[in-house]
Amino acid sequence: MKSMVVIPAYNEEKSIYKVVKRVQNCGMKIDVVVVNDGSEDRTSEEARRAGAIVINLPLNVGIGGAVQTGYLYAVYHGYDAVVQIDGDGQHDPVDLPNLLSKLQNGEADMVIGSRFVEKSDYKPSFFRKLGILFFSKLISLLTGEKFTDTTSGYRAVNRKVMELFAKYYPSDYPEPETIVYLKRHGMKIKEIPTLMNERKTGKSSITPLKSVYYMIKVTFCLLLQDLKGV
Amino acid sequence: MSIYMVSFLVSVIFLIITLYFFKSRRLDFRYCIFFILLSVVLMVISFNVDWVEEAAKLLGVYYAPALLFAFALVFILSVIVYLAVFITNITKRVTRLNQEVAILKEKLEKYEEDRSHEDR
Repeated sequence: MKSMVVIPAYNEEKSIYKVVKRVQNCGMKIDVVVVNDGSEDRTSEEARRAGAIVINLPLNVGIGGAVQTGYLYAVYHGYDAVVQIDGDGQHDPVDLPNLLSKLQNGEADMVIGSRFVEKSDYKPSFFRKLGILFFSKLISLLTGEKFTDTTSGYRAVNRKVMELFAKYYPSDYPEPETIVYLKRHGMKIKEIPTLMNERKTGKSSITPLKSVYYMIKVTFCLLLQDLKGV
Repeated sequence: MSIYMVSFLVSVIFLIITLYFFKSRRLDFRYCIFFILLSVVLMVISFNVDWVEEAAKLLGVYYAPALLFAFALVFILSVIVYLAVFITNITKRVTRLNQEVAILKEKLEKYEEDRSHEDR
């Protein structure tokens, strides 16, 4: 199975080298594609130094657009599977073979690395926990299937899903919406337990005001998408 | 100068500005037509205020200018919604263009790198 890892990165010069190296040392042959979303620092150089394929977006398009670039690249280059990993080092590449094996044996079209399928040391803040719980319940209700970690950006998808993502991918806060989008297209989604590291460098871009916008935007998108049956 | 003359002159100035932007190719005809029509309607109304009063009576509006405000509000809101849809569409296209350019650039860099290796 021809596979690649896509890492969207915006101003991640401090962590991107290590993240790429860790993926390359995870024990399997896999291409690493870093989508540099118009960074103002040395993200592109650091990623290249680590040996990644680097796609430099001329302008900052936001997380959704950056991730979608990776899926587009995968479609154009005939990959069979894509794994999405954050550029800040929070996702552990040790779980990569496990995620891909579920795709390979046809158990799922998308596999989500969940922090909550099993008890883990990951302790989100009260509000983050509340948000995660809210979206998990809402999406479980809309899809009729149980999901524990709808905001996880650690995902592996097969060819069918990457083609769908190349056509449409939400521009911001995409993770919860894509689950409903894929279920509407009859895709199989599975969650498996993964470990989550603490953020090594930089800080989360989510501020309290953005959190409120995030909750409203995603809830609207989920409910309207469900109504439209897109 | 009466208020009717003032409103007529304002409409003419509005029309001239619209045509100026169209002539200098800063405004596309499909948007220009909105504003040309609006200017013409305003010019006609300026000298036919009784039409507005008749229309207000017909619709049961006691204060005729309120009807004008209501129409203006609906018009402005429609234009804003139309422009918001248009901007969303443009944003999507710019994003896709960006993505395609970035992927092509990567391909070109790889091709040039391979060629320079062959040359050596």
